[in-house]
Amino acid sequence: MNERTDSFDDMAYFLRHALTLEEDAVDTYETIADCLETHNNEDAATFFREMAAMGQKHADYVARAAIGYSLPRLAPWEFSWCGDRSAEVAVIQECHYLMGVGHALKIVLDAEKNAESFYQSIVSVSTNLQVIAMASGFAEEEKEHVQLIQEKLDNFPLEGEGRYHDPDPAHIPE
Amino acid sequence: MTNNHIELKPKNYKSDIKPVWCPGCGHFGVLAALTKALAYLKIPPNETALISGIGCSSRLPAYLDTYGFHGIHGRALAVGTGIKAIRPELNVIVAGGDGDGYSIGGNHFLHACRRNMDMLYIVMDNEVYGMTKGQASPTTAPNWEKSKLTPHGTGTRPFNPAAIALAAGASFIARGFTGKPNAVTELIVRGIEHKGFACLQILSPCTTFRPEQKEWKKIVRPQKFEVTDNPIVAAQNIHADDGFSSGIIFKANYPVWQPELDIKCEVESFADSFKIPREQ
Repeated sequence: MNERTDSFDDMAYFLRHALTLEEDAVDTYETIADCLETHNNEDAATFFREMAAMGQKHADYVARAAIGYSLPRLAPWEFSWCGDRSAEVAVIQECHYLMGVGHALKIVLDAEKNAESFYQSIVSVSTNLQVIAMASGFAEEEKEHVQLIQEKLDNFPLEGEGRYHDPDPAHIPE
Repeated sequence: MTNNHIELKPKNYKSDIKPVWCPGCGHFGVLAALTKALAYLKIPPNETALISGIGCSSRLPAYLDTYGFHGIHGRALAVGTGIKAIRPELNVIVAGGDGDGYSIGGNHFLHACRRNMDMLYIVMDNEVYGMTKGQASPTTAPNWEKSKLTPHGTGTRPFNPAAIALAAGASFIARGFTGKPNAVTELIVRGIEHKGFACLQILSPCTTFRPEQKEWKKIVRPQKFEVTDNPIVAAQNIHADDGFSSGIIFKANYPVWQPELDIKCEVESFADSFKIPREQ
């Protein structure tokens, strides 16, 4: 393994981030889908399942791009994410068992925006032209996702508060 | 514990059983952090035993592909202690909630701290009994009035896990928050690596019965004090804090208790004592 540089001037360091970003996103989407299936919310579960499948294609693409590089082994807390978590991870704490696809779209939109910001930040800090080119491409891709999800969300019927009415709620006064 | 095995990814530590936790539950953050920690440390699933008691959080062993034992209420540490005594080579992790660990299992908690066996104890603290539909737990604030059992609040001061652990002789005390999953992963790793009993309180919001805990993400912040091995300094830090600082509070090298095993014991050596006397 090459010596670690912990800098986005290093293609291997960048690719480690890109690959983990996609893998963590897929893992979280699958977890959310599993959880919603358990709660019989098929619509939202299917949506997250599809997002996981799409994310897996991206992860596979990054894995192919990483062939020939010796990616550094980073502890989860050593990554240079912009926030407290991997850049494209959906915030599971924002989910609700009665959530609709509209609510799901908002959660995914935030995750995609974070991913775009992350790649944009690399474009601005890296001095490696190869890294900049790849990060720009990924940022552009994430931007397209953001636009696509925003369009879907704009045309999605509003989910009123009534959606969250459960005639048999979990919180039964004892 | 060995770490020369094939590198596994976090998802390889998950079982096929889908969590029944409410979508939005903080415990998902603990599950993710724990799988990441085990993958980072390269601990094979068959070298880890995850033990729990009863409660939402105590479902954790079912969701991991390690050895697991879903025990009885409050007895997770007793079971974990027994497993560590007889299988010292295993990485023993005990997990549960604030009710299981600090109330029903409070006595075991005290003695596990002073005994200082080499294991990690994760308490997923949401200040409520969630599985029984929302009653006040030992860590609930005195003025929480949402349960019909305590309509005017509990009126009693909440249990301070870090202070109690320190007083009982724990050698590693830390606090994390599921809203910062990578930081929780580090605390789990440090807790597993620590030689002795590691107490890790993880603030884990209950989305169903304590929805106001969503605000914790605005309150929890990294602790402003340094980790110390001085219990007096640690006590001062703990009591000066509001319970929402995250990080390693205390870490000391106390003697680890591990009973010696008499592995020479064989059934033949005492089988005669169990013979049923032949009827005359």
